[in-house]
Amino acid sequence: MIQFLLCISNILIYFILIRNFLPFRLKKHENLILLMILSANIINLTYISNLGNLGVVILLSTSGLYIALLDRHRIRNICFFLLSYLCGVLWDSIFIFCTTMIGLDFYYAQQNLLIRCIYIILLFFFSKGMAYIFHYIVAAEHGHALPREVWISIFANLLICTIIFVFNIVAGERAGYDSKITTFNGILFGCYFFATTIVIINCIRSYTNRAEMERKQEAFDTLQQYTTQIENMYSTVRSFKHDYVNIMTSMSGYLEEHDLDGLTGYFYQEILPLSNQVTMNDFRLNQLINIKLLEIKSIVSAKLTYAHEIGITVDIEIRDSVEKVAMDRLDLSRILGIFLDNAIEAALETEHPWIGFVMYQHDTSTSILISNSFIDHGISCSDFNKPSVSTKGSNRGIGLHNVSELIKNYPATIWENEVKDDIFTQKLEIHQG
Amino acid sequence: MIDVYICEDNVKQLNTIKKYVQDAIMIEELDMNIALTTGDPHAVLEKLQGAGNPGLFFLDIDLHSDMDGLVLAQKIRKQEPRCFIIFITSHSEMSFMTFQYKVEALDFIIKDTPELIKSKIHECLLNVMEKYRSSCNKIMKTFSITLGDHITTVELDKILYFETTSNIHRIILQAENRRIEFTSQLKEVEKQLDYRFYRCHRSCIINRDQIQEVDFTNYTIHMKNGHSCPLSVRMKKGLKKMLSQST
Repeated sequence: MIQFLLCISNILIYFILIRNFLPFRLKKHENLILLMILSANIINLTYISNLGNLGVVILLSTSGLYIALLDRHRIRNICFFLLSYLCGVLWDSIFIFCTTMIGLDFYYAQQNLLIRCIYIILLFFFSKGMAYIFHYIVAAEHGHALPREVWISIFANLLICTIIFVFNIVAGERAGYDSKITTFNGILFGCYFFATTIVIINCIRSYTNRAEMERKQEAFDTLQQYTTQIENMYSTVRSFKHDYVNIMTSMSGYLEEHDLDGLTGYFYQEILPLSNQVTMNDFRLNQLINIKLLEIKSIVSAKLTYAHEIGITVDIEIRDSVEKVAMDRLDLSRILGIFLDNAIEAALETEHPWIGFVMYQHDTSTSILISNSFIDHGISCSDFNKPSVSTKGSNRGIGLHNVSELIKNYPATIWENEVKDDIFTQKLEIHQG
Repeated sequence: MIDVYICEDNVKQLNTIKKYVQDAIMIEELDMNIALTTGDPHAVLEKLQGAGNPGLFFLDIDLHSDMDGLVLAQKIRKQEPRCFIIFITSHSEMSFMTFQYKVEALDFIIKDTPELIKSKIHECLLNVMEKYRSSCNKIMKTFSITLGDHITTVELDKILYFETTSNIHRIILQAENRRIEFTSQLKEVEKQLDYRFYRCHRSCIINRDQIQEVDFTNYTIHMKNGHSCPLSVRMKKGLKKMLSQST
């Protein structure tokens, strides 16, 4: 009987750990499957085979595999899974250490149900706290944007940590348990665990620092481009001024001679085409002056200048000064980058490519509209933001899915897309939450 | 009866526009009345206080006052959300996108040749009249999403379905040619809907009138524009009953 209860307590321990550590909530059936995997393993461990702690390896690999299959962020999920196991082990060591300090016998503490209950309850809070700390670190360092390599290195680190530990236990078991050795192992292991954690945190931090630097550099480069563009515009205006003076003098020449026919001819041949030219080249990049957020300005100017250069007619209208947006600037610039890339790509397929960019401010909200000319490929809007739906074949179309992943952190946001007369519009309305 | 307001700071142009509007009302025998012609935006707002009829506004963008046409339009919209706004401007180079979206301007009249202005005004008045009549004839039921001081409305007729996303509390509204993702819950959404809508699945509310066909064996509902929605086993019976009643 006691053994059966202990068995259940073991299942519970693993289950609590995994649930607390995973960065997302498990659905009902996922919970069930996980429970089944765990119970099968633990029952196998206690009743059927006498693999001892080698069985733990099987348990870890099967449940780890299941968790990896749950969603797209496989490596991240395994990392959190391993962390949960390590955390459990750490807790075990701490608990055993404490009980031996009090003077309880190791075996007695293992078998006593009351102590077991206390153990589980405390474990729940301990793992909740640890998970909170880890999630906080990952979130604070823009963890959702961490690239694969960083996750892989974290994963390798954790895996080695786990393997060493499991090996340690197995070896200890073979040599026969001694409560002193276990305590010693526990302390040793605790130290190692903390050391690795610190390494991981540093790893993430150094990565984010580097990414930050790169982003700043990029923003700087695009702003440089923007400045050049403005300078070009200024020089066009200057040359126009110069032309204007010339036109005036030649017109006054005609007027002095009262040559009305000549003046008419001159006007229609020279001046009208010139004015057309002036309005045609009117790329209103200067409207971007109203965006006071540097990151946003840099991404918008970079993409729109590029669009203008490859022959897309670009209309920009930003009449209100935009000083504050209720969204993280990095997130917003990623979203805008995706929208603008899509707009450019779709517009290029059309005969008269056109992109419109509008930004305006209401009392408490900011709206951004990106419109483009497009050819209907028959992809219905409902599929737009699913992963790997794209007009460009498979392996693409991650963009809009990423947007919806980013937007979910901002509940006071409305994301709308609309198709009207061969114009596709993305609209983002960001309210102060 | 629609009240027409004209706000233009150039007196000469103001009179021309007034004349064109009057002519058009006479010729077409429209149920409209010029309520105010002025160059002062504040006068418009003052006159608007306590006005009972729906308004049609012709506004110049550059008013040479402490507020321009856009700001005036915003203020008018706030007081009278269902009015019609038409801008008159000499800026032929602008694309007016801000005006279109921010104050939902109906149209733009470019100060070009008088003939063109005349025909354009005529056209606008007819357009407004038609819109006004159709909105009077049937009271459009709408679904509205309110966030802060801004309301987005979608006519119930045009809605295909609502569905949940993989992100918690984010709902997608799929309408004809339009798709809106916002924060809410299907339970909350349901409160605003009428008899046409049916919760066919835990993750989906559909508009009965937009169903193309229902595949009861595979538990899928095909909508008119080619989208499909899931049908849960439990809700199958209710849907069958609902569909047989409506035909």
